Amino acid sequence: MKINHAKLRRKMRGRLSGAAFLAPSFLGAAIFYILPFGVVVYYSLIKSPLVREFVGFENFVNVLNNSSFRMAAANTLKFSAVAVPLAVILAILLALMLECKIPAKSQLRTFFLSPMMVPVASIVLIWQVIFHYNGVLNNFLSIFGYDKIDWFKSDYGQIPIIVLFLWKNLGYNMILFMAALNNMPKGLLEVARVEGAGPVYCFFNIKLRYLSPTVLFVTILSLINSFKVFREVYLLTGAYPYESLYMLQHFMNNAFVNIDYQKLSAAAVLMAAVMVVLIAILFVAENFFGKDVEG
Amino acid sequence: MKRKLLRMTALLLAVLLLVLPLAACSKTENNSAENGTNASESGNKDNSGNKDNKGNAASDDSYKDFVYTAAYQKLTTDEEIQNLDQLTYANGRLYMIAWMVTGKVTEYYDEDWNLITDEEKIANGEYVEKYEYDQTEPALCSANPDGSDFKRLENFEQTSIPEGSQGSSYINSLCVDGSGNIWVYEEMYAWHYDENGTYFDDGNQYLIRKLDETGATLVTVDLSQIYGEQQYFYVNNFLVDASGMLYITGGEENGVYVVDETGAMLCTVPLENGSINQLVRLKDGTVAAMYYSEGAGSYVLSRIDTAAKAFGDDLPVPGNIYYLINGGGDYDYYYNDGYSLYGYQIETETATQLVNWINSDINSDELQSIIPLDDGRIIGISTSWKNDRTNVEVVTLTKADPSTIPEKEILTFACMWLNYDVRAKIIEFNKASDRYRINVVDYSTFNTEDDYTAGQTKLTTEIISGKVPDILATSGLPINRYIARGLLEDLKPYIESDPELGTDAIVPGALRALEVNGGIYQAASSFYIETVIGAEKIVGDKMGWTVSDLKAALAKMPEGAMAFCDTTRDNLLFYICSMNQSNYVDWETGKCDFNNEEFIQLLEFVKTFPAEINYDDNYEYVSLYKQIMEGKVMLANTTVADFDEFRVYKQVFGGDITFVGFPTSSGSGSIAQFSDGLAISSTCANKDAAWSFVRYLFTEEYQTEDHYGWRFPTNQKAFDQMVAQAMEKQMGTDENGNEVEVSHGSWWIDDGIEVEMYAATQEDVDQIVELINNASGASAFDQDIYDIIAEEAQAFFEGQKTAQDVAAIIQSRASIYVNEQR
Repeated sequence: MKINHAKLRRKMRGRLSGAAFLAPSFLGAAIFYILPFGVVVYYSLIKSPLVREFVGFENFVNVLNNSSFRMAAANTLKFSAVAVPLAVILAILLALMLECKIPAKSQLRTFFLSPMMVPVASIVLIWQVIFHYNGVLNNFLSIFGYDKIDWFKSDYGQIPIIVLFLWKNLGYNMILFMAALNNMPKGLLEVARVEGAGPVYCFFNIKLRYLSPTVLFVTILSLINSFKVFREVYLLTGAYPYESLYMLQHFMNNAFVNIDYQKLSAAAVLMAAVMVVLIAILFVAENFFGKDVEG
Repeated sequence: MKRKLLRMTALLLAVLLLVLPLAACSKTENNSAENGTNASESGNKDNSGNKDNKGNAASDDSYKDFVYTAAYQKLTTDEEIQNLDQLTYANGRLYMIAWMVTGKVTEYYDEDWNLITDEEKIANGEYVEKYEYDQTEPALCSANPDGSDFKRLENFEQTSIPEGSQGSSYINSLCVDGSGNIWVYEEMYAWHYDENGTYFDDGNQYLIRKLDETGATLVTVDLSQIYGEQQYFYVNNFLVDASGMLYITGGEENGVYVVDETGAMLCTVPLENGSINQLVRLKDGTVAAMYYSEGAGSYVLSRIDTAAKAFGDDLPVPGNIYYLINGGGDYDYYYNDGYSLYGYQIETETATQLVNWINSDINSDELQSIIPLDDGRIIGISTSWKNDRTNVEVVTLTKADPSTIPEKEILTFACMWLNYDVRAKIIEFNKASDRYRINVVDYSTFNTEDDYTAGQTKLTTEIISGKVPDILATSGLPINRYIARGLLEDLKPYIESDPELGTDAIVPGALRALEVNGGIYQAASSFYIETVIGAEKIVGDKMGWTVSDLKAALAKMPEGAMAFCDTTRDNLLFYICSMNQSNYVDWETGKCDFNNEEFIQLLEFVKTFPAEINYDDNYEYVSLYKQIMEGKVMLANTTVADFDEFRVYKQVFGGDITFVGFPTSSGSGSIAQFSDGLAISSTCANKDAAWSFVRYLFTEEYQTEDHYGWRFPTNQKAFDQMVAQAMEKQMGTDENGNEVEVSHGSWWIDDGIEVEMYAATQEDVDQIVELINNASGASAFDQDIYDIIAEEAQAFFEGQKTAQDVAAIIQSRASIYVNEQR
């Protein structure tokens, strides 16, 4: 077989110039993401920053045996398991609602998007006013004869936080779904209607299939945002909140303050591993449900 | 061709994208005027005297760039000088106000501290106290920069007192002008008594005089035109600018008076809001005022604009600097932050470090009147206390060639503010050691107004990254956290193997209180005990009691009596938490037990106290002593640091007293607090060298020096000496000439009531020793747990929740905290 050297050279040149153009981005990603993560993994495998002796998985075992870590992990999982599906489902419903011919559609869209622009400190203030033991909600409930609920210091603690999470994130998720719905081929829906398909059938068998990449994206985004809720919880309840609000980030933040870098690194690596597994599952699910609609 | 051009352009853009972000990482020229100095970026920035040490790496030799060699010279004079002040430099000579010792004064006092003037009584020994001190008078003097040829200015004569009057005149301050003339500010007070002994004020004079280099008066400026009818006049500051105009602040007016050398008032420059701290002459000869601006909420420096009769624009001043030194040479002004001397250039807003005092083995606390000369030398006055005498010397500092400074191994010392004693010891160690030297990094200099914990965060971050200081001053640092992370070295083996010390050399109670999990992680020289005192007949004779016992004792008091005086809930909660935390938290198992009846009772007891004490106009202060004597207060919350004060309470309580402590379910209820502390890091490469420095805190020699301990020493021999001194009887004679024990002082309790202090008895000493031996250490107290308790308890105190609900929340939060640490 005759080897086309010129073609080979062109191909190599192409790959090299491609690599050269990718290099700055890759370097940036390496310096700011990959390298620091490598350092975290390194710290999770040594005894301490002072005595850098390799101890294997001892730090991981210590973390998994720590009852506070287990509590934090359970709370975080519980929160994500409730908040993320709600964020996706409610966003889809809102998008469908705004897709219909209703009055004040534009104003409603703005209304749902505006919570994104509110600073965290203001949100925290408002939530304290509403959910404080002597706050607006308890005063309202007492009119109907209900006892006061200590929202932030009882087992009901996750409720105001889930409400806060949904209030903040629904708007953006809704916009993503609205964009996806706009991009759907209208012809297919018309044909389905002509063929006698009802709105429910159209939604589950056509629209949802086409929305599956967006559902995956919004789910991942919501999952990431569900971890960021630590910021508001920390401002509302401090470094050591009541049991129900104690999240993984509390554990890690406190470990940093207490100079327990090993615990912090091990917990971070464990959390990253769980995230990778979850996202992998989501990708597989999306692949399965959306294979008909993707190229 | 087009394609090639496209590729080249794309490549160029890619390279730019890569290179441009790196350009932001450059150091600015302003920050490194002289070999790695710190910088004040734009005026009022935080004082960063130690940033140039760059985190104290053991091999960092940059400290050598700021080393000056010091030559100390005693002034060549037969007269005894007690102090030097107002040092200035002109005409190649030093000019100063020297306080010359003219004689000794001996005063005699009776038992009521009245001065005895009857010579016969004195001769007969009919006095209780004899007090000797030096009599001094100020003199205007000059000397060569090396201290030689010290003399009084031969032609200077102080303003004479008018005939027929008695009085005195003093030179209070001096400065020089651009022509080398000396200006002095003098106050003269004159008075007389008539035949009936009535006092008459013959008028005061406030003068500024211009002198030549021999002290002869060239001009006298009478300041009466300034103070006029003001009842109280004094000159705070005065300076002369390059053109010979006088700038004066003082009296009742707020502003600057500008006067020419004939005394004619040129103008006044008023200051609306604020108070003038200082006048300073800048390099260009103009005079600026440093004042506190209430509007800005900080100190401000402004040139005095005599034409506009106003203060000029604000000039940059580094943050936390309140005193400036006149400018000259390359710098508009200089300042000393206690660690280093800096020169400041206003135009570039750059501070340049010139001298690092500790690295130059100079104790800046002993240094005053610093004058940087144009040739780069620095002159000042060093005043130290040695051998019971004040030692005054002129110091000349010359920049050392870094290559001549001997190589030594560096021990880094981290602190949150360096106190006088430790600074002096570091300098002493550096001078004495041929092999090691200690470099100081004060992390409190990194704190800002917005973040007062920035210094501690920086230290923590450096520790995590492996840059651990060798020695740490424990005050202000989370030592318990460091101990838990294994960052600190256990000093017990060092104490035990030390030839001079050994564990027997330390007071047992102090040693026990210093212990954390069986180890000793800091050395400390002194301690005191926080406790509660009550009358034995009310509280019993045992140390330690519970809340129930306290309530039972309170029931024995007259109706309306309080347990404590002027104590808020927060105060009491803090003390009780300090004592009791270990009863509710088991660090071994990670279990907390706040959900029990005892803790709930404790909360209910604390709730009976007021949230705050109302110190309004209706508040009438009545001393604790009086309230106890009147039966209105049962207990005294106090600190015990000697063998005297607690005996006052015997008188106040009207009988024997008991150190009953704060209510607790176990222990004595008293806590030992250590005032200073030094620790060695577990990663220190030269632990023996570090111990050779740190050990001084435990030594008898240090603890018996006069360094204002005012607490119990930790060294057993020093403690025994303190006991011996307390038990030593002071003898005097009574009216019949018999030798009797006299008191060595008295304590004021209330109007007309004083307690005379006599020598302590063995019983008194035993009671104190028992208190010390039973006190718990402060290490048992965790601030984070206290914060959780205090935060949640508020809801109960304000009546919003029950004690049970609050206890449950505390249990939850504290459990999380405790389990996190395991």
